[in-house]
Amino acid sequence: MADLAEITFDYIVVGSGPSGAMCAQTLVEAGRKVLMLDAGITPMQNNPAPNETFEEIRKNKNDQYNIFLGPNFESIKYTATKAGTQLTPSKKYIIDTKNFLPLASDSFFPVESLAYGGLGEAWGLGCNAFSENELRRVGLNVAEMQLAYQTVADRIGISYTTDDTELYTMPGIKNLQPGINIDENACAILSRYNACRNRIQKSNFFLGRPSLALLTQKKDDRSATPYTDMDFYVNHGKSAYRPSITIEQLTKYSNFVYVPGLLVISFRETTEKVEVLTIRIGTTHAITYSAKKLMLATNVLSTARIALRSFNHFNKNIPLISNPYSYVSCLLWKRMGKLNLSKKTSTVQLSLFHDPDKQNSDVAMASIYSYGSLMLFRILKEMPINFKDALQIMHFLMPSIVIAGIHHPDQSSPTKFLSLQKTTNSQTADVLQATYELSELEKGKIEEREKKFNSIFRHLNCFPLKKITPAYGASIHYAGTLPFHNEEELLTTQPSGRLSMTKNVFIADASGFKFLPAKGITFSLMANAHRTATNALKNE
Amino acid sequence: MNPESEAVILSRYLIKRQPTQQVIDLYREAIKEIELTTSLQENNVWDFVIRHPWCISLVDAGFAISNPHNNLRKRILTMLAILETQIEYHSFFLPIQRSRIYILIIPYLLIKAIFKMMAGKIFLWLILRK
Repeated sequence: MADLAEITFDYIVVGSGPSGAMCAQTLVEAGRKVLMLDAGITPMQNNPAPNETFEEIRKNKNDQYNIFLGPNFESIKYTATKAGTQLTPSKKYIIDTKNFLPLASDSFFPVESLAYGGLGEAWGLGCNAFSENELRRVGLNVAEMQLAYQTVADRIGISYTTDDTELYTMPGIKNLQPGINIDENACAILSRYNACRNRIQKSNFFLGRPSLALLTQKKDDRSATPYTDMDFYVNHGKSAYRPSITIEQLTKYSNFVYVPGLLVISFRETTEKVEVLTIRIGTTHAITYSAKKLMLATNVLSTARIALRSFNHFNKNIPLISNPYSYVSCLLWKRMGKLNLSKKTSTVQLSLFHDPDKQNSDVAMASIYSYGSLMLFRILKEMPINFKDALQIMHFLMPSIVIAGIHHPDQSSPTKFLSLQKTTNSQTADVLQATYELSELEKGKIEEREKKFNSIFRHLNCFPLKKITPAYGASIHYAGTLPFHNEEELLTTQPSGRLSMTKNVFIADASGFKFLPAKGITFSLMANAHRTATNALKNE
Repeated sequence: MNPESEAVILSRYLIKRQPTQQVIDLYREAIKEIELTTSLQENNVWDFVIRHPWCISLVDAGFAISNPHNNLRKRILTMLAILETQIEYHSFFLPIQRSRIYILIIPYLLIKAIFKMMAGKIFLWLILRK
């Protein structure tokens, strides 16, 4: 480790999540000597489920409680409305930040990660490219991003079916694999949509199959999805793309070094290089690494911490944006009493887009899932009646329950901000303070939209039962803390991705985004990371 | 409180089956791990339930409306989750093909649940008053 601290690398990439993985791959493939610094937490216990269907495991595996409840009964533990509680036991380690990412707020409850592969290890796999209008609002170069989307799609493998939602999912992107086989619930909804397409489209709603970073055909050493309905628990054959797949590939290159167990605190620029101060997780022992250029690709909140510390910018506000999110459980009444095939995926089955002005610039999206492999007791927990009757009712209704997660676009406002404050109560001697409040206008718009979504669900024979609005931050999509700006202004990002007022520090995550479309952020994060790395190479 | 007798009562209540030893062991472990410590008031109610298992559905229903996430309900939920992961009891949880006519049972169950809820609230008021 001491040797590495004495070497000046070409690039240091901070973070192994989707942004870090794509950024590092671009730099390594260009022949640069890259050091990746990461906390890199991995699961404590490795008890993977067998490569069998959910139903087979439920019927035959005697110690299945380890898979579905967790070795320490993590799934049963009740933790109010905190985001991330829906993660299955095998993925809980992803959101264990070990008190190294302190955040104080009574209005914003984000999910952060120190895991190897970051939050990308629990990503829902939805891939929707931002439209040209959205990219302009975000502040991203359209031509650069379109090239970057194609590069990322080629690297990670995306399955997709052309349909009415093409404009909102994969416009112009080629070499995609065939879409997944959707389950019977989704087929029933799609068939109803096709029967009343004109009426639904008149309301500016468009329904289609999802584009997913899930293989339906073999790609390199990765296999096609086995349709076991166990996607929330395991990734046999690596059919689902995870950033750790890329990092594992990169470690085979001699010009790539991965160092886990570190938390990056700050950076300092000298005339020739960038020095990166880290502490070792567990001992808080400080180590400094150096490189010609630094790529910050942790996540928006951690990047904000690093930038604010480096500029010694305490107690001052910077903007924050995050997609407001709610989910609605619906009863697909025409499917009551009927079974779904056991050979299916647990991923999103359909995507419903609402494009009120048909400009593809202010789109809201609902991701529709069938409720199944997450276990019945989780849904019973939310029912306001006794468990025995609830069990009998849900045993009958469960196969016809669909969940629609609705994301809304967001942009910055004076009531959404972060600031870093000094404290003696944290391992990093500071705490990120977050405030996130929607204006009455924004709340009204969201409510109005959700009513329209409910009306369309009813058209699709999905009767809405209950809406749950988790605390702000539950969407796990954050952006806009160091917004893109053409002028060299402190705590802004240049359109190229370079952090303003620095020479060699680049931001490869969503910190620069001035607007956050509701189409899911991960695919665009990866494309932006590749774009930023390409710009950094040009800037050498 | 004795986790073994609790496990028996809860399993009989939820699926009308005697729990296996594995279920009892898991329940004991889970209660310890999840640290479901009960308040004095909850203790009194729970003691009453253990002595009079017939009233568990009333207590469950009563709390479902007044305090759905209290520790007694969490104990019942814990047993429910454990039972769901047992191969012997999968038929109580995994979906099965049913006639559409079965839908008629849903309003019946809902009405029954609402009555139980009201009766449970009164019942809880009575035993907590003692």
